[in-house]
Amino acid sequence: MRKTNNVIKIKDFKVDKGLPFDQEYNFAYLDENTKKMIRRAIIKALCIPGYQVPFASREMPMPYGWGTGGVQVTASCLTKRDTLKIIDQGADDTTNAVSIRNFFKKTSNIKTTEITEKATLIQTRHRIPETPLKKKQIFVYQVPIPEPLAFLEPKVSETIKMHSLSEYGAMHVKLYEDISKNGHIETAYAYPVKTNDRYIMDPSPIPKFDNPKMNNSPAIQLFGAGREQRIYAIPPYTKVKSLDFEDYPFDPFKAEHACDICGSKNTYLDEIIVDDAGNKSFICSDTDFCNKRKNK
Amino acid sequence: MIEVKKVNKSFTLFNQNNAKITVFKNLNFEVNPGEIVALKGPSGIGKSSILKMIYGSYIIDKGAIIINNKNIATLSAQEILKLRKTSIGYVSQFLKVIPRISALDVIMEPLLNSGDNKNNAYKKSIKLLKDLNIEKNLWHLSPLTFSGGEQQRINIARGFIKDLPYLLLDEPTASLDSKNRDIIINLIKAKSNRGVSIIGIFHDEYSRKKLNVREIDLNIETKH
Amino acid sequence: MIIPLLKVTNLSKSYDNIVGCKNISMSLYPGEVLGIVGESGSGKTTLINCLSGNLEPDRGKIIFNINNKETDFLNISESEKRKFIRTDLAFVHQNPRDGLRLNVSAGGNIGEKLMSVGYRHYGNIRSLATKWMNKVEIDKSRIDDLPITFSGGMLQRLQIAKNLITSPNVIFMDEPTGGLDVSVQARVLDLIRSLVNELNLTVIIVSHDLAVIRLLADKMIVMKNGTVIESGLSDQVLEDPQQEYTQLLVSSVLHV
Repeated sequence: MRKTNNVIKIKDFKVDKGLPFDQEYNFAYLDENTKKMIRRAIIKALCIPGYQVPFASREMPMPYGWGTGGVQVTASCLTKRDTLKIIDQGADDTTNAVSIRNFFKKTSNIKTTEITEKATLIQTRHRIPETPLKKKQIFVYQVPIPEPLAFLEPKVSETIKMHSLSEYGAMHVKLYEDISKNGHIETAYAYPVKTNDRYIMDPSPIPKFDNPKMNNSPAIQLFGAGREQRIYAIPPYTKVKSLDFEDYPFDPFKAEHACDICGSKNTYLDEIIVDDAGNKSFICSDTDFCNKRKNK
Repeated sequence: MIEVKKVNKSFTLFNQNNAKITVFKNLNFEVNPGEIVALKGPSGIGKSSILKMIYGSYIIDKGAIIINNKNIATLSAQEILKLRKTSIGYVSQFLKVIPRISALDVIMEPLLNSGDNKNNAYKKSIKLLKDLNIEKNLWHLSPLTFSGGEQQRINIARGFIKDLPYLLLDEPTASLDSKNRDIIINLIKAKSNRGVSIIGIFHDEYSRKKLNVREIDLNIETKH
Repeated sequence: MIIPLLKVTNLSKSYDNIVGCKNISMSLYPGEVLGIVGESGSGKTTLINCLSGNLEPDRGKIIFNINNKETDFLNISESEKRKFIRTDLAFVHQNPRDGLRLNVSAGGNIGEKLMSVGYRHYGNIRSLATKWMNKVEIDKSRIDDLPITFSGGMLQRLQIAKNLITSPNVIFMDEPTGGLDVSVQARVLDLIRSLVNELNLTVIIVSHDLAVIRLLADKMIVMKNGTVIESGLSDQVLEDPQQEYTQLLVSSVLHV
């Protein structure tokens, strides 16, 4: 940086023009002002882990419920040097993942990958990869309902107060109800967590098996809800604790099976019906991890 | 010691053409510790009213009623409540029945409200029920269906269960047969022997004689 | 000299030109039950809502003094106020549905207050909830049932349990038996009466029914057109009413 007459100028840095992309759109679809607005929201969110920052969600070329929040967050973070991975329920090859990946390819011609370790930015729907995330990776979650208190308190004005005053007793009521009905906390996904010992957060509909991965992660975790217009975040190495009772501690449950393809016993499995007779097969939900393990 | 000094009491009935009814003018008398005083006078003269004035249920227009060196007429509601709890007991003419409360509970209540533990309260109440000749199968029933005499005995038990230095009794022996009347008279005597100041309304000569009361004739003591 | 638990000075609240309550002053001491009586439009509901924090008064002071700590209720921050309301006060609504979560089980409703003050042991919460269900005479087998399956009287008893479980310092009750059948009313009143006695609760109860006030309240105030017409010991106000309006009220009550 050069200091000139008490004004600090940032030196020009080399702009990497990258590969040519469809010039009808700005890089990664969103205009720069929108990206600025979203980045501001992201920075605020990172400063207050777990706190829902409202943002002016844009109309995207996919309907609400298809990941518009996640896409906007990804679009705002994407640079030409990034390598992008998109997963949906752990798989890179489902319709959703494919169409979002194509979207970004078309509007930015960015490098993409299916290999978790090679990605610099990962957008996910409803799962965290088995491969541990690294420092400097950005991990973007698609969130349908950002408000963990929504089922108990429909009024937004009231939930805002509850969050700001840490009035979270009602949250435990839900868990209490689970135990009283089912003998254990039944919530299997979107299991509420407390971030940085302060805000209670909905981690998006990931299975509770994945909750521990959020704790103390070296990666930046961002959450985008397009329809509800909220962004929240967990900065690296932040404490994330799943809610529980002293006598009913959190249990990251998974099916008692090994993967039928790669044999792993420690990964989250999808249960698949393989034929008309109803025979079942359990295979890793994380396709990249499964392939890697199989090929070893 | 209870002192009633120059008390005036009247009622103004606003909804009946502001009719004013004077009950007392310049009422004066005293009751010493251990004394049993009987208020005497024809029906309607205001005997029950005197008890109510001393208890704080009626407001006096003029004068003073001194108990424990405190003038009831000038005490705050909170102070009167305290005085009722610690010093003045009142046995009304009729038991106010609350349908689902058992006879035993009715009697235990004043003790429990003063912080007595449940066991002690229970024991004391059972003893009193026995002394008052109430049949055991009635103890856990509500007095709602009791006879007048039985109700009155429960009422008295409730008023007598605590050791209070002042007792106001409104016709305590009215509905009782002679056997039970004697039991009550003995209970009153026992209280008086312990130094309790007692003001009562006793309609029958027998009770008044047996208790060796000092009579206060209201026809003389007040001007109407 | 005992300091009052609650001291109200010159409390006033209007709705534009309509007077809710005007220049109300009163004191409440620990363990006392205060009854507020009045007909429709008397201001009694406005008053109790101001005292419990549901309404913001225009003028006046509300000072709580609990365990030697003074709280100037109208001059604290919103977060302190909400916390104070949560931990020290309770409000029993006339319609129990206003005071319960209908989509949460009976046990969850009773336990919520415990959880909101930090209880985190499921077993303990459940056993305390069961204990309170016994106290309010609801069959403990219904602990997991939803309130939608409860009768009006049961709902009200559930609301009472939910409110009292954390032993609040002041309990406000707004016509707690209004809207219940007569026999059901009697049962709920009995329950309130015995709990108040057993736990030495401090209560402010609003009712248009003099019999309820007579049964439950040590002291009472009579309100009309937003002001206090008369106040004093309940038995004194009811047996020797000094004001014309009070005499009218008392004489209007039918005796069974």
